[in-house]
Amino acid sequence: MKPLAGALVLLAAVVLAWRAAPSWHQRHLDDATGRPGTKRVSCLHCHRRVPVPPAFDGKPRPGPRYLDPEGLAVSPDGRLLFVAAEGADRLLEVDLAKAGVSRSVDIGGRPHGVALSADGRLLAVSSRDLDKVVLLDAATLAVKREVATAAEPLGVALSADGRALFAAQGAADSVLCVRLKSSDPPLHVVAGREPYALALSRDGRVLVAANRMPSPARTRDVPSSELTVVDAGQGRVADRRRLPSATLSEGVAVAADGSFALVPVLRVRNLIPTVDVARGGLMNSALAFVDLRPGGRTVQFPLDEVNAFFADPAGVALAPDGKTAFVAHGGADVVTAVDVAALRHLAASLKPAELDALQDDLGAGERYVLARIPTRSNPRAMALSPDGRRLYVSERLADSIAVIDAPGLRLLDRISLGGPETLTAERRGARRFHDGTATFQGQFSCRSCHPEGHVDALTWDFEIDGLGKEIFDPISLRGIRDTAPFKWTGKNPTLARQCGPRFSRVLMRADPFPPDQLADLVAYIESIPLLPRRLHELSAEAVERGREIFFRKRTNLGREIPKKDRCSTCHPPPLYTNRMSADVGTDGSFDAPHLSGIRYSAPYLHDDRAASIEEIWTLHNSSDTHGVSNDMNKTQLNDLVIFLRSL
Amino acid sequence: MSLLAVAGCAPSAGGRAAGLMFVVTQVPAGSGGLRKASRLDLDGRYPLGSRVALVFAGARPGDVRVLSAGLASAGAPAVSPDGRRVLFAGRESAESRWAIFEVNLRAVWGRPRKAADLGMDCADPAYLAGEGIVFSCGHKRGPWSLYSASLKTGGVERITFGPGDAFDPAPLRDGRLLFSWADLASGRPAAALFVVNQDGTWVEAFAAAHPRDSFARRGRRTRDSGVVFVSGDAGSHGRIERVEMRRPMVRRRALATGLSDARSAEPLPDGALLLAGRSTQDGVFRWREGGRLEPLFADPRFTAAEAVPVAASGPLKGRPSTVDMARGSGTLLCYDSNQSDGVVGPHRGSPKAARVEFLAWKDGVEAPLGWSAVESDGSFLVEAPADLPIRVRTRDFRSRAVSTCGWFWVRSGEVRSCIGCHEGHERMATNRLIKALRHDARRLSPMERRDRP
Repeated sequence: MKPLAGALVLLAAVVLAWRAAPSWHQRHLDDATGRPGTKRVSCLHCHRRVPVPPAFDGKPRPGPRYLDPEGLAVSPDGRLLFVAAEGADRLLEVDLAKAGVSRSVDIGGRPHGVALSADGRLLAVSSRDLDKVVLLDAATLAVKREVATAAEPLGVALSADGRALFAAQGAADSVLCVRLKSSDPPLHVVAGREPYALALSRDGRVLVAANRMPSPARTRDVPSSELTVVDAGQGRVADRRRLPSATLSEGVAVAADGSFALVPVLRVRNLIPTVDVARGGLMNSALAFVDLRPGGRTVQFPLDEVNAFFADPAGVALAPDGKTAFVAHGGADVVTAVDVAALRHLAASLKPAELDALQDDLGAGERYVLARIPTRSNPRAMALSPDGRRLYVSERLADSIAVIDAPGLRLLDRISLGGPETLTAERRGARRFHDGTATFQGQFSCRSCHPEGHVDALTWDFEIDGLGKEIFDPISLRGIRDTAPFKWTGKNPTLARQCGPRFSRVLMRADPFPPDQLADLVAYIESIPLLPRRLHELSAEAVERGREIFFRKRTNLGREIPKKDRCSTCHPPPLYTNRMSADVGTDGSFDAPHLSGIRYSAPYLHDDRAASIEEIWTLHNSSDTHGVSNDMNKTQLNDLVIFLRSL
Repeated sequence: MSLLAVAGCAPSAGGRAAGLMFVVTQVPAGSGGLRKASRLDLDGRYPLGSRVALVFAGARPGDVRVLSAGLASAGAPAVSPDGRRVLFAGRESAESRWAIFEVNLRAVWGRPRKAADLGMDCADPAYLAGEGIVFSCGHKRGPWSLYSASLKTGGVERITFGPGDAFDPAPLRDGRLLFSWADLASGRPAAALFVVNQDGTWVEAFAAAHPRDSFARRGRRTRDSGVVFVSGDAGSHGRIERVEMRRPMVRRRALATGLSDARSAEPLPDGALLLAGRSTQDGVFRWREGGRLEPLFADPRFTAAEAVPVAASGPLKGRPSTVDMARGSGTLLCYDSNQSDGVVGPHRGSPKAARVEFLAWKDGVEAPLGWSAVESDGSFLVEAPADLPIRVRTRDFRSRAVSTCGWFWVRSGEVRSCIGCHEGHERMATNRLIKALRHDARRLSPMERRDRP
């Protein structure tokens, strides 16, 4: 009898548990989120160990170390080429006669920009993750000095006499001006959003900074990026030129006399629904000609053609005689040669209405495009030999340098930098991510909206959600691996689904990625690290105070904050997202985004309505629907923001 | 090697043509078919005895492998991207309909199998990505439309709907289809090149400047960035012309091939063209710009109507379909109806559009379909019945017609946008908010009398 009774008790317990589990599960979910009727998720959705997302922290990453060549500089005698190998944390010296790497030196922190003094004796290399510019003796490659910078130094420039150093400080939105032989404090010139590349006129008087991101603007205003013109002698802004509808400016060249500048840009059409991908419906490549003289015109000359697009313009080089410019298209594996005299003539002679029309004319290139020169994967930075006869192009994802006969407009040679020969899934995925050929007529790549896996600071009107109805910004892909579901609406359970056939129908308008390529692409996206946290910039005390506010359960008046209105309910560590949707009073229910690296991804909320982290609460939380914040004083809000910036 | 044996001929052509293999349509000499027949008169175009044959360059007249064996007449061949299969139009007897047949070149004794038979005459087949094919079908008196079909599932879908004849489809490198379109409503014996997605969405004129009465057919992409086509209808002496896919789109030029009557031009892997037509003699030729016409094959018993190279051309691109048949209507969004022919704003002296009316082609006549107000920025947003030929006429505030565009259609679930009305083919949209998006699309319905301008 006893075994039978035991079995009956056990059976009853199982039945009761089976019947009670769903309601218990729902109660548990409702309790955890503070929101009744929370959509069911599995236990592992919350109760699993999640690693902290990887970040650039100066330590070598596992797996093969690809070189990822970026910035280039040629010695005055034309015999040596200096290459910033961002992936290997080193500066490479290439003997051009032997077509190979002759020496290298450890820089650390992803060296990005390279500049050489006119006499060829001083080298400047930016270390974007260690926030410094390293000055080296070009003859010995010995470090002479390190100059501290603000966050993320990218492009660098040296005055002809090597006495002044300039650095674009991408994450600080400023340009550093340092007198190297003086005890004067360095100057930080306020630039546009994310200054990326610098160019100095031959006389050293005009410094121009290309800013990669559009300047802050109201949601659905025409975006514009800025070309910051700096009086290099005085270290102050001389002019700010707007480049309407232009973004992702990653290169700049300036005329020897400082009379004009050339900036490759992506000319976006983000205010129009993503209906017409044909004919540059989303974006096209252009070369902005900026007449720097007072009252001078700014014209964005299209670089694409009506059925052939050359995605992701990056670096630009201007021949010493100022007659020819070269633009590297990272998404098309092509360098475009442009007749600068034709640009100048058109900019000067056409009427304003004609120039407006020309900027949206895919046939315009016939008047100034000289040649298309093929390269290997992802051409980025470029440098011309001092005599202007050789153009060197860093082929970032091929770990090589293309050597181009600049007057002859043809590929001459290719120098291998000696990177790993094996191609990992991440590397193949990186190539796919940066390759525009997967989209209709090669119009854009994944990178066009997610530069370096990040954001483009634009909102887009996706047709699939209804014309003019759902406006979304691209979400940063950095640290996204364990944050499923994806998409602002949380519809896609996996990255493979997010980037799969639906994506090809809605955006690429071309064949979907084959399964093997999709797997590579997902592997790459999951491997994109976060940017450094740069805690040294933040007050540790303020971070701690902010942390307490983030996890607080009571208001300043002692009233208990409902669970659903606590920051940590929807944004619990370590990912700072509970991966569920919630309506926080922003016109819909949206997936709670992760907060890792949030300091770098302005503007905020699904439609970029908050230009800064502060504005999330100061402008868009008047009813305490996005956490309880209206009881906070200014200091508390600052502390909360500082804590968030530390994530 | 097997193909060589199958062809039963020893290639004797020298130079770069050595080893070149092609499929040719042979029309019995003296039948007069090519001269008399209009483009879609298949019985006249391919009279009884016409055949599709596999030939080596330099082969003797009898050394061919007839691919259409067993059929009463055949023509319009197309070679698969892997170079192993051939589609063509054929009919089994003088009384039967024209259907689409496929033959496997590797099957030595293979007979053509029927790939598509829609209950009406079908011709001009071409391969698409993913075991798909496209062809044109119609009744004797027309109109002819393009249909796509799956060789795997047999599913067939009509993809063109205008009031005219659509024929000669060929895939472009970007996945779209290039085809010829003869607008019956215009009443002119003209045909121009158009492009459309493989699901029938986004039809638009191919960006070549076509004289009003020109007849463009057999458009084919070249290995570089061009499209070659035959200008001139059957009944006239055709010539080969070329238009650039890239800049500048308006450049259209006749190629000095040396043929007095050109009938087809197909790109060869080496960049030259394979031509069928008449020079000093009738036959198949190889020709490269700046070079001489190189005879490859001639048979005095037959006239060479078309010749297509047998070679792998690489995988074709597809385009994901946006058609949702459950919707029953499509959306049309115009950014600025005042932008026209590359001119920003209205034509000089032309008033601005205040309303736009829609005309539909039903049962052979033009009928009003509905209207919509035009926003102050020139934009409008409407929902139109799917798969119905429509065209748009803008009117000013005094109801005077400002401009009228050509026929097009929207497919079910398609969202179609236009930058302007007859804007230049190289024009991109200006980045700005579109006022018409502030409200829902206006569903088109026939105008009430009080609404009529």
